[in-house]
Amino acid sequence: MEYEPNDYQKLQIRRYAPRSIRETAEGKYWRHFKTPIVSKQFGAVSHIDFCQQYPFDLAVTASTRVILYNGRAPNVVGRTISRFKDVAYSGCFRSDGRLVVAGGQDGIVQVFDANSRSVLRQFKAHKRPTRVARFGADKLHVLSGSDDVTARWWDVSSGTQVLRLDGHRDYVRAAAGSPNSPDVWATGAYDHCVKLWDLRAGNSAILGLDHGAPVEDVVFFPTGALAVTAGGNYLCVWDILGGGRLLKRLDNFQKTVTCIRLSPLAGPESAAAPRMLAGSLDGHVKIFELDSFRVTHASKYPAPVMSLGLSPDCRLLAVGLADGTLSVRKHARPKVVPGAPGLPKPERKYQRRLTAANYRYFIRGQSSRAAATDFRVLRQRQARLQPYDKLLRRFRYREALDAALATRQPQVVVSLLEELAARGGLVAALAGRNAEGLRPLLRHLVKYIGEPRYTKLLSNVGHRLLDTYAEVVGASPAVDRLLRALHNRIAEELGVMGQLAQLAGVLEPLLAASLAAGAGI
Amino acid sequence: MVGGGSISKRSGTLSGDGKLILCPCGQLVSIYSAVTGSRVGVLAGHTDEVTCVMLDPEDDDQVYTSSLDTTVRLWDYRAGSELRRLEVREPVKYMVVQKELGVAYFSVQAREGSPRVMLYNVRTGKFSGTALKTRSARPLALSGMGTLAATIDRHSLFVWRTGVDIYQPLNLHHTKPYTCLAISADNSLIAAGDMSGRILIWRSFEHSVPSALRQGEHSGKAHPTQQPPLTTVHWHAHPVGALTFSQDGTYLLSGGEEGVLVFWHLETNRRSFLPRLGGPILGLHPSPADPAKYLVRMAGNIIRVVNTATMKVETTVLGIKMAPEALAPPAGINGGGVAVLAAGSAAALGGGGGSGGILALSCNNAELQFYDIVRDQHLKLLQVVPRNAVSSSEPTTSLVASSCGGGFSGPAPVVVLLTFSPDGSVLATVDVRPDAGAYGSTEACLKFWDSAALVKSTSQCITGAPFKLNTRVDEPHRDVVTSLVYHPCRHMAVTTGGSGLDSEFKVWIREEQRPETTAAATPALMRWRCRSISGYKSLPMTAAAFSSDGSVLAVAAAARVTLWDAESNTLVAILPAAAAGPAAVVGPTAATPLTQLQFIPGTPFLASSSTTCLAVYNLLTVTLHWCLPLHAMSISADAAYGLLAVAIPVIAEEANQQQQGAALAVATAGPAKGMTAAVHQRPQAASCHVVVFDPRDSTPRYHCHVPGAARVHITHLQAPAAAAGGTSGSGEGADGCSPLLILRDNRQYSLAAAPGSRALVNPATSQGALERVPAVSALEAAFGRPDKAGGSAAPMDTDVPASAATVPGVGGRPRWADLFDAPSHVLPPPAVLANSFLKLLTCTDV
Repeated sequence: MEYEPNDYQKLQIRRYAPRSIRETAEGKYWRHFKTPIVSKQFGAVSHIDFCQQYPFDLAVTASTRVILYNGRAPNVVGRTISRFKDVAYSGCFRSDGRLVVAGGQDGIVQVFDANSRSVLRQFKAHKRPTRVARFGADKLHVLSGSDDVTARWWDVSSGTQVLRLDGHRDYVRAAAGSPNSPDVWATGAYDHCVKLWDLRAGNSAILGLDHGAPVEDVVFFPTGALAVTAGGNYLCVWDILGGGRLLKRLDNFQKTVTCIRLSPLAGPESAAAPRMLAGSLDGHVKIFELDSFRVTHASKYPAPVMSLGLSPDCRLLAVGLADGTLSVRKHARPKVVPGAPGLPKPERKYQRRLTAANYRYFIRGQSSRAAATDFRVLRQRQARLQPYDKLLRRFRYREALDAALATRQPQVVVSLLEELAARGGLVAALAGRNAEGLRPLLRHLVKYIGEPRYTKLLSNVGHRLLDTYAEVVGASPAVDRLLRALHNRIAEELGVMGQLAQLAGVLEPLLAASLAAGAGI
Repeated sequence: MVGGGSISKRSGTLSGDGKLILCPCGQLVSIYSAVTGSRVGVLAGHTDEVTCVMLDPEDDDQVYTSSLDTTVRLWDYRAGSELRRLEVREPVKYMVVQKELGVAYFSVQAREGSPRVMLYNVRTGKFSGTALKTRSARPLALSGMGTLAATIDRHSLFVWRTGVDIYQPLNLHHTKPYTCLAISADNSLIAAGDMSGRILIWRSFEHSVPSALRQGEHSGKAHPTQQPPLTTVHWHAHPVGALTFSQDGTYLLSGGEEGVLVFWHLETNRRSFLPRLGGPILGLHPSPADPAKYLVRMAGNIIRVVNTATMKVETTVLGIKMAPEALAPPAGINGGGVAVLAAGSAAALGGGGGSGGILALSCNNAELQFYDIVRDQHLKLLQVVPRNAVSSSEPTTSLVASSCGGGFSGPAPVVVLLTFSPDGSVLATVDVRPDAGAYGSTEACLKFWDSAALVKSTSQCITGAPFKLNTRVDEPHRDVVTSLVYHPCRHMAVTTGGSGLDSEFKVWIREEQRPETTAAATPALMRWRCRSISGYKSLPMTAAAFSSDGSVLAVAAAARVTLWDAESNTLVAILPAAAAGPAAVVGPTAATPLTQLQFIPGTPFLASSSTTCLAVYNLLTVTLHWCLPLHAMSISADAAYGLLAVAIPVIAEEANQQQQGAALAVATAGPAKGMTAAVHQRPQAASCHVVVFDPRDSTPRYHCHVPGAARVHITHLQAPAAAAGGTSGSGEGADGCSPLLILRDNRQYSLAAAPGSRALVNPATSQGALERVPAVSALEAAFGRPDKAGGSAAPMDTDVPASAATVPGVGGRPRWADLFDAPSHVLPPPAVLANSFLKLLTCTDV
């Protein structure tokens, strides 16, 4: 028949509507950059550069040194290049990762061996601090920009200056090489100008773009047709091939944008467009989608963002802050890009035997299908009960409540309290506790009584608790402390409520007036 | 026809071969198959409630039945024929029959004097001279050998030897009231359960029972000179509900409110359990055929056959379940706890039954029961809130109270509102569950269910739940949810509710929800969401109704009715508050909140009911059409004939005042003397009237009296003829009436139909049949109103000025404003009003 005495039915855990507004694929992807490895540097992290070769080492420039971290183990302190007399700037890898170039406060541009850290070349023409130095795409030249308002083009093999680029009227702070041609460079300076140079044409800019604010960073698109400049609290997207037309201005920051990076691979699987990351002194790193130039994700950092870097395989996201913190986050599920540089698979030398050392040994054969001739022994699988369910089944209400509190899941506690109320066992569950037994309950109350979805129930439980234990208040200092904490929590919540009520009172006439105005129009 | 009723409240029995279950069900004895659990027959003949069914000890094919109609009858239950009738002259509550001596003991609830246990000689048909007086009629027990009989009476357990007379019974006293008793087959043990859950077992007590009437002593009660050895065992947390010994006397079986069958091994006092039976146990009856089987009666109108050898339930018979205590009987607030799945759409349930519709009822433990109306049979259960049926830990009132309520007491979750989509494919429910509040606070939860996959026959689909949960909405409104209605053509539902200024109604629609993964193969899920929220002047929204084509949504805002376009969520019109009677019009508090709204299909009328007024609005003119000062408990619209049925309680004082009217109206209640006696016993409203109106005017068409029910809920069923062929016979169409389901507060129901109509009503059971009454006289009879039935506004002209002058202004309003506080159609003409208006303006103080 239908209505047999059935098995014990598990406690139904209440499920609430998810609290996040809308989880997008984009947000999910960027949230998967987890577990920041935080390392403290000696000064503000002014520049971060990832090597283009596996294992994608990163060069972090902070204070008077450039530190090279291994891309596979960014938590291990890397090799330090400290051959600077003063503050170092702009530590950059060559594209093959074997050389590092860095500028300095003293104006000397130095080229190091990435492995031995020995100084290979020193370019000493700049008179003022050199804030930017980059290797050319041909691996043989270095472009440096300095506060003496010049940029210089050096030959690494001979160690001499090839060209001096004059034209800026203020500090040169940014430089980027075009991906189309090794001879085309863009430099940005504090005179609000971005100049485009063709080094074959000599010492005159072929294009000048007015950013409108001191330029902090310049980046070319992978195609080379567009370029992005950062300066002030906005970004500008320029059509270089179209003669320097301003395509878009992105005003998404509160303070000066300090760094931009482009990554063709970043973003969720479904997204095809490249992503742009921009960090700002307001502590935000925002991710732009470059089809529509919309912000798809933003993350907040505790200090002004000075520099950032994304590894070419999009596995590591490094952000340097003004307070000297370097935060490196690893993506939980990095994309496997076919053809992208990666670790070659180690060849397995021998076939491993399945032994009892492996869990799979014990579940082997479970998925194999029974043959027609096999005799089947049907065994009913017992439902596994949670500790609170086991106790509830035996009508031990107080212990069940303790077990639910031990799970530290508020929805479990709420469900159990409701069930106890329906069974009329709430009094039995709450009463008869000593100080030790009261504490977890009170701690739960203090923690969750302010959450709107639990407030109604927990305030009722609190009432009952106080009714029950009113006589013994003062007997245990620990319980008294928690009661005081509960009192403070409620007072704080009431204060917030009062403020909100005041705010609502202020807003109401304004809304009414605006509605009336709208109706009048 | 009559259906429903409790089958487990009174003691039943298994047949001699153990294949049939016989149990009292109202005035009938229902016979169920112990194999399939379906009903195979009835024994009809008693004219009042049957209290006890027991096998004739001499013949296994015959049963004795006792009844409150003062007779005990002997039946051949296989043939269904009555063999003998014993006239007891008093209502019999319990009985046992002794085989050898041919005597029977009856525990009678005497109509005059105290209850007593009487000895009746079955062979001679005579009573013995002495009777044992008790405080209340309580169960009797007879030992297996038939030499000892016993009964309990509050703190006393009386045991006496069977014979031609009741000698001085042995009195075993206990400090707690006894609830049940049992004597083992070999007379060696007697067990009794008490209110505290203890079970007392006396051993070798037989010699303590006085063997014969001692000379010179009265046949009073004897206290034992030497107490027999007593063992007390205690497991039950609540009063012990039932006790019985196994046939070999090695086990004692006990059951109580916990819903656990406990087996006591008497040698070792070890216990074993059969838990989670699903309701308080009211009775245990051993099977005469198989010593391992027992009939277990449980409070949720459940009878189970339990096999103690396998510790399994073999058969379950479910009757109609009682209304939970949290729900106002019989159907909850405004009848929301009951819905009828129409005959055409009943296929959605997957059952083969339901030719006359399926009744969905809210029961204890947040279950829904689906009940075949015509076949009077349980179909399915749906657990709305998955939860174990456990007894409350807090002390309950008494076992008797819980058995009447039909389930576990305590603030268990319960379904308060339910409704079906017109095709029966979607079920919407609102259940409330208690939160931990000390002050009885509850939280509501709105759920939408999809019909489970249709299964071909009843026997196959019996295991599956009939509906699957689709969407769950916690706390759809801030506080209470007052009504839930479904759109007649679309998948759209409307709930009203909220408290105070947050009162509102919400429109819920079903729409596709694309799964997050963009795989095209997965079908789109249909989910429910709230589309819009509306309110009207922060008035409490108490009821809602859709018109039959779904174009108009009527929502009751306090005493007013607001009409909305459900598609565009716009307010279309507001109907004025109806007020009936001269006093009601003038007083500012005249308008009581409406409890129910009902569009009458096929007509432009909308009916509304409140506790003081029944009103019908004409939607073409947006005015009040007529109203009557009636407390309509329940209203229902007849879709096929365009009629309105109203259930009205008879208040006791009114019943006294309207003696003549009641006598006229209550044709079936017998002479007026019986009526007064009934009124005297029960000062509460004891009966109801069901009146069918034609909405075009306020004259009643049909009338039916429902005796013995304080509250009823009425619903029209679709008549098969009307559903199939429409109103083919125009003569009948104009004059007929769809069958009307009248559900009483004890969940018994009757089907009433217009006389002469070939509906599914059995004409033999004339109780529910509507009798045609002359219109005006019936209204007078029912309500004792000498005024003209049609003219609700007629007496207003003279009353208004006179009473208005004495009523002071309320709430700072000028007093003359009260003069106009009435719908325009009831206001007197201006010429009449002007005089009193000027009078009120000029007079400064009252």
